[in-house]
Amino acid sequence: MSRFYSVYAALVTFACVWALWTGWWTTPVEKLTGVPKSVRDNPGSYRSHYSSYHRYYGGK
Amino acid sequence: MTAAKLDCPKCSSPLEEHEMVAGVCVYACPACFGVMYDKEVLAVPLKLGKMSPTSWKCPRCKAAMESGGAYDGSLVIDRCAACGAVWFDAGEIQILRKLTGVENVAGRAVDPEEPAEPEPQAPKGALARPTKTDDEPASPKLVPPEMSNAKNPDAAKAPTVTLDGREYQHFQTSAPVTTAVYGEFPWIAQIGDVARMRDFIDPPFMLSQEVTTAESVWSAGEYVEPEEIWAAFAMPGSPPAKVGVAPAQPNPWSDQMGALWLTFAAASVICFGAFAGFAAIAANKTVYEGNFAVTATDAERSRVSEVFDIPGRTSNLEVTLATNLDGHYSYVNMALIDADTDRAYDFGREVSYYHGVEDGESWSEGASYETFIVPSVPKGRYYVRVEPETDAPQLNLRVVMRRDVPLLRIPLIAILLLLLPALWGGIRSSSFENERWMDSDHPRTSSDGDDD
Repeated sequence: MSRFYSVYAALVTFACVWALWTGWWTTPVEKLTGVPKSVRDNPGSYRSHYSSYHRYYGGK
Repeated sequence: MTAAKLDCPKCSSPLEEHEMVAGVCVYACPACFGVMYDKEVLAVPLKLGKMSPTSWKCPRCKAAMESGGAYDGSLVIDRCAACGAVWFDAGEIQILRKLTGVENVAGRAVDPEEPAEPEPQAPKGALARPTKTDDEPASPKLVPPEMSNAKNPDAAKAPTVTLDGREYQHFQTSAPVTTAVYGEFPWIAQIGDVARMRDFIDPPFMLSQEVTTAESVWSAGEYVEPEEIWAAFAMPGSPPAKVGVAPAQPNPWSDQMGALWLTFAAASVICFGAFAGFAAIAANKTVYEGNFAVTATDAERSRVSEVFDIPGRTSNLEVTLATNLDGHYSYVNMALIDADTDRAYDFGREVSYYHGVEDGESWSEGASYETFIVPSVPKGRYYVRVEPETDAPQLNLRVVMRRDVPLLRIPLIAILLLLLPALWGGIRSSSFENERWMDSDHPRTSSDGDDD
């Protein structure tokens, strides 16, 4: 148990330092490539990956 | 094994013959527990003082017996003036053993006035002595007077014993009764013998005290793993699986908890230290601020910002969306687009804020702003595309982006991950101890917790 925990603690500590250094976080963000150069000139030519995902259930 | 011609000089019961060692017999009374040693078989000197005549008759030769003090009066015994047979009342043999330091007082004959140097002898056999619980007290005839109290004072006091720097905790006090005897013993072991046993533990060590009317004997023991026993006796196969937890069995979890918590502390310090270090050098500065407005009548709701720089190493980006929403919702589709390549980070967030008064109670739901993290964004020139969806007549949206923001949540998550196995080990250790103490005089309740 003690040996396993030492290895486990080392991994968690390394992951923590790595996350702090690289700016890692759990937020779901889609990384895309092939975005058209014309988006600035014509914003409507790009459709957000998330635009069809969300469903709103809040409010009263 | 009844010696037909010998009767107890005290209670007249027929004496039983017991062969103590090869060819050496003693005669014991099963009623009053006295025992007779012929002159030839008493292996220790008696150091008798002045003897006085008595009315008792020698079991061996029926001559009158005399009584007197031995060892400066520490022991009063009865001896036949004619044949020299010695009669010991119940418990007197134990006193003689203590006075002489000799466990087996039966053996070769010695001159009663000469010092003896007998070899200490160990028992070669086993006693079956099931524990008699306080609920089932032994027969009053068999239970020594000081043990006849069914109450167990140790259960309430939880005494401790210190030996060689170790403090032993009281585990159990019981009154075992001998139900069977196998092998040879350097003392008279009889069915029905009762003692009070007090066990104290400091795993893997154990101390046991056996108290009889005549003496108190302490024994020290150490828990040995079954595999060691198996190997020591070259037993075939493997030992049977352990069942339950023995009183002095070491707790495999508590033994490791110290090192485990030390590792936890070291790892926690490193995590928080790393956070403090990164927080000290983090840029943590605003790289973009922009306002967008969308109305319900807009046919095209997507907007883009001007190009801005995101400097530094690859790090996070904290995005804050502030709106004028009040009683409305919005879902803001966003893309952080690299102006120099075809890469983009696509994400979205809902922002909604409602409030009011219902049945005299004010309520609110959501907020008019939202803050979130875009992870691991490389440096570069970027612009933002926003495309809000909303039921509001007009949405005013302010977007603020901060670069390289220290997140305390990361070391906190690390601490939580480090804590879970440690807590699990603590729970296992506590369960082990609960099982150990379950059958003792001090069973642990759930509120007792673990001392480890």
